[in-house]
Amino acid sequence: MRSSRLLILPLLLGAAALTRAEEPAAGALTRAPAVISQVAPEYPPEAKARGLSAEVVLELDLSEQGEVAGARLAKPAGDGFDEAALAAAQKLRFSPAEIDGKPAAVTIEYRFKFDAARPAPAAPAGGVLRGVVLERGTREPLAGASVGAGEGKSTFTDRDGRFEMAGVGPGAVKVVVSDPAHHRFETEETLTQGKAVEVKYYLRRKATDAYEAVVVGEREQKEVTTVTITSGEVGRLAGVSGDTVRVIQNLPGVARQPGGFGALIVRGGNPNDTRVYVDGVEVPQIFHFQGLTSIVPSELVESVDFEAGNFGVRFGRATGGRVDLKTRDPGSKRLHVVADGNLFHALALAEGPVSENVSVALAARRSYADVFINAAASNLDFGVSVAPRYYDFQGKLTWRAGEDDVLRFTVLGSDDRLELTGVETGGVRDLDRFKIGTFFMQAIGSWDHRFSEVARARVSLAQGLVSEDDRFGENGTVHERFPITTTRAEVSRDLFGGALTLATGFDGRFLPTSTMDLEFPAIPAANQLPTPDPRKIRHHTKLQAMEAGLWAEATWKPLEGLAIVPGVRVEREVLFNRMTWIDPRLSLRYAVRDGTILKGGAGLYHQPPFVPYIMKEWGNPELHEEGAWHFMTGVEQRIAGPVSLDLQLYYKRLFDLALPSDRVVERDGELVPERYTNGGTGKSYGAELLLRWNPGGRFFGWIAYSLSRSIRDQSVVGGTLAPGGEDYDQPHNLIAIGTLDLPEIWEGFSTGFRLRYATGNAYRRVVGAVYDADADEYNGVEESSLGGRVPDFFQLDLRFDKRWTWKTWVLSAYLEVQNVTNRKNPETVAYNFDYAKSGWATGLPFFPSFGIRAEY
Amino acid sequence: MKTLSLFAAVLALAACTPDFDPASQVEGLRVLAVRADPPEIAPASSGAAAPDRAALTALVLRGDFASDPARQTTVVYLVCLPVPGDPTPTPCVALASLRDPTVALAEAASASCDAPAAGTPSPLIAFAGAERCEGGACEPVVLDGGIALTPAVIVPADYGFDALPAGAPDRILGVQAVALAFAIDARPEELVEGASASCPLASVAGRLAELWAAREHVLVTKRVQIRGPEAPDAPNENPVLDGIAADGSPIAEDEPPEIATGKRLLTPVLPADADALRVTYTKLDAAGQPLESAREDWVYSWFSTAGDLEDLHTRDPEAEEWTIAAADASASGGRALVALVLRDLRGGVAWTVREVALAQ
Repeated sequence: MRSSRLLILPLLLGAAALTRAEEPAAGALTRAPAVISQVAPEYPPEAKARGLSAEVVLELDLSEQGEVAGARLAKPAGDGFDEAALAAAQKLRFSPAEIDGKPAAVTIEYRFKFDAARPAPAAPAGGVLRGVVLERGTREPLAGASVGAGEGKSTFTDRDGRFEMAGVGPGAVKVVVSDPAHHRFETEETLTQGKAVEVKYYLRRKATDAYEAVVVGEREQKEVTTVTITSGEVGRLAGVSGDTVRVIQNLPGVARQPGGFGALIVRGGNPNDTRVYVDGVEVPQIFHFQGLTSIVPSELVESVDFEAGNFGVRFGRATGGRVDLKTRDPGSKRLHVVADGNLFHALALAEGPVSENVSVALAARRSYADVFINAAASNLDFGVSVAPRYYDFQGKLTWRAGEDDVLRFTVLGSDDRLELTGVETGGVRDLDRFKIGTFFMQAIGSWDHRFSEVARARVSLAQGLVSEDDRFGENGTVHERFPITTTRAEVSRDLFGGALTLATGFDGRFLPTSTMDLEFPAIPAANQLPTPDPRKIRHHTKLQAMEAGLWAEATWKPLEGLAIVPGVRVEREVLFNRMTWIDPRLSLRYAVRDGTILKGGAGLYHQPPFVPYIMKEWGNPELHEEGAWHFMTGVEQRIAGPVSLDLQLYYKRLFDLALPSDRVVERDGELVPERYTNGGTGKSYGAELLLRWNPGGRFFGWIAYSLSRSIRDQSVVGGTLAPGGEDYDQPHNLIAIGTLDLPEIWEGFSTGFRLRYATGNAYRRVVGAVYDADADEYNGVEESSLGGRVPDFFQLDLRFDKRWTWKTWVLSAYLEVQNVTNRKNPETVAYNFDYAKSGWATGLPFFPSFGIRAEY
Repeated sequence: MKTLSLFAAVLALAACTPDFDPASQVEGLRVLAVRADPPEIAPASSGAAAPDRAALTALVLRGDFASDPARQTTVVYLVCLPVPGDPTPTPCVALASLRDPTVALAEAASASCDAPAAGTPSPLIAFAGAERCEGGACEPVVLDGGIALTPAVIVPADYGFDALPAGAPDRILGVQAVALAFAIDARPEELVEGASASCPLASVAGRLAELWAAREHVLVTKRVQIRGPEAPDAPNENPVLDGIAADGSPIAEDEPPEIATGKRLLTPVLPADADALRVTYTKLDAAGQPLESAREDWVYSWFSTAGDLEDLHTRDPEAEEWTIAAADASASGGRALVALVLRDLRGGVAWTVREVALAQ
């Protein structure tokens, strides 16, 4: 075989050598790619026999790592030369090109010259060493790893971790494999002349997490308040038990809930003011039992987007914040299995490729506290029919149907149950049966389509079912069943070279055949003593409901680094009454220089009142939507290396809030209690600081500080189903959280901490008491305004993780201790039976927990 | 429509609350029950099988009864009558007036003393009597001149059910008058001292307001059922208690028996026909529609001035465990009161009080 002479284009000509970039490059080529692993194409036998020579010109797409991602004929030669050239091109390896100093994908022209006149080179001495380099434990192929064999022989692995070297040895050869993120690997192989040896090497990752971690703020974004948390960062944070969604409570803008439960109190609002989504579809609850663990395991979460306010027009029906939990696509390279158990629940997960373009993941999780509770049932003061237990399940299928199409199908569900009997309340009426049963399931199908480089669309359709089955002794029962159809669609198009992007979309939830069977007494009226034995109100209905929004948004980039995003959203809500509103919003981001971004936003937000407040039986059907104006300004600053800062100032003006009323009005010719009016107003304002050490090294973590006030202009005692607003006024909230890898102490060992300080919540002091002779209990008479404040909260949590990595599987274990100092943090005021004495009810003491996990 | 977050919070904090003395332990001035006799009344014009007035009386105990047996408590009653078909809350349940109860007193005194103009509606709050309490028993206060201020709730003959259409919820469910009882550590003479002859009630209210902050006091609400003309069941009656038994032996009323220290089991003593008194009635929803038939659920509340009672509330056939330590006997001067209140959870109340001698 004649040797080929490679002719490389003079790439130093610069931009002229680029025929097309995969992404519109804004800058200039600062470093051209260079061949680091040459490959001689196989001379076509027929052409060789005929003494033919040729030159084949190819266009090669090079990835950011310098691998050949695609090859096309630019100037074919025929006679088998094209096929030989294309086959050889796939094995070429280049050093990465750089644009503006950063690795970038480029396209180059490359020529293979076949010269029949030159004598074929002599067969090289030695054998062929070929194989694959994988990461120890995860079996992840390592691309771009350097493989050296003996003296002067080296190559790099391709995207599948594979490599091949000819002319190695013969005899014993020292092989060295190295990669920046992994420990150096050395071994010895024995090669025989003319024979190939197939090997598989496992490299141990250095002291960083096995998950990929994405640095916040790097991705292209228009949103001004978004903080993104990835599951990789969450796994080892202290105090959150690996729960991605609970991490949000450690971010600025989120108040601490007494008892450490999971409700999201965002910028002084009520829990109902913040809506939660999974993959863009709203879910009825994000935590089991309203506050334990989140309903989707972190193993299936790619990221959680949290916006404390000023979110864009794609979402609505909330005056607080927004949480969007994004599930990740199943792994497409190999089978991956996880079994995990901790103090609360056990998890099983399996994922992997079904075909080249289809991958599937299945997971299920169940709590087991009920096992222990059932065992201890005889020692409890109440009976246990169904000990508290929860389970959840998830399934996801991703189909990459083509370059421009990705289809996804996700199923997720959650079930919470408990049933107790003979629960003493301390009053004359005990709860003969206390039952909670919450089930929901969603099946979500989505389609992402790229029309072209400048036009995209996304459509999702979900069918879900929510059912609630509760009983509270003689006090009431709840039986609800809501089949819900959810849809979301959007299209966008870039214009004028990307200087303007227009997007429009629609989202809606439809409940065509829901049933509600409620038997419940009236909500205790505002400003009055409660009735000792209220009669039940019965409500049995089949209802149809709908909430839908239409939105349009423009992203205008008049200057380099400046994005102005105006948008408008129109909503229609039909449940027990009809509401319509229009929300205009505006945000801007300006990258004044590299590493510094100024941002601001203003917008109008509306939401329907809490459902019981608009039901005729318990509320006021004439209530209309609640509203809030959001204003914010801030700066994101890259400080040095992995350290970044995000500072925001915000102001929210609240209006038309549902306010308990003790007035009597005439409705349909009858005198009735008004119960609620849209007369509530208030404001919240503050500053939020997030100083973050981004992941990628041995340490990551952040300091979050919120200075915030939440004020309501009216003071009403009672009449609500849950506290909110001023009750969560926490002027200071400081969290420092971090994780440090310590391989020096023990390979695979890391430790984490969380330190939290928060101002105590405000509360209404009891200024008197009235003995109810019918109920045989006292009712405290509260002052009209929030004059008391619980002492400040302080807690230190520690966590220790250890990871053992074998070739194909990983074992991890952790020990977490919450409230290491055993501080008795006051959570709320406790009174004796006649309110003559008071003290503090304190939260959890020193609380250890542990977990273990096996992963293949 | 659930109170889960409250429930969850209670569960989480249940083990971390301060250790307060139980409500069953009587120390200082306590009002343990108020009885309306009968518990259900009706306007005279309705022709119902219920009288138009209910006598009110309270069970008042003091923890220091042994050391100061002559100490008296005065209970002054106000009553608020709602208007049928009008859900406007009355001052007796409004937090604004309960934060400073003396405001309600002044309002009631004014209503009682000022002659109403013609055509004005009846006042929502009015004075309803007073009683003197000592050693677990109460009797009406008698003014000079022999006027007895017998506490009572009286329904006017022209009470407004007739203005409501047939089937209206209030015609079936009735309404509830609310009695507000001011129990204060004072003798009645202290309240009527210097009272105006033209309207002694204004003076009593003023004097009570003066003493309220300075003396031990308890503010109490008691609801009295005013029967609607379309009520489905017979009028409710108060249950009956005959006494208390300790370790199976009834405690004599006139001669306090000696009780040894240690654990004693207390049980109610009911009349022979107690079972018949525990009636079956129709549970109604808020619209007056029947839910189900149910038998009355009798609940016992236990109190003592010495020792420790295991439970505040029991139900048949549970016994109450009473633990008496030697220290309790000496601290209480060798005497203790045990009180048992029986409620039928429909407004009916009965009680009994027994004194025992504690072996030292």
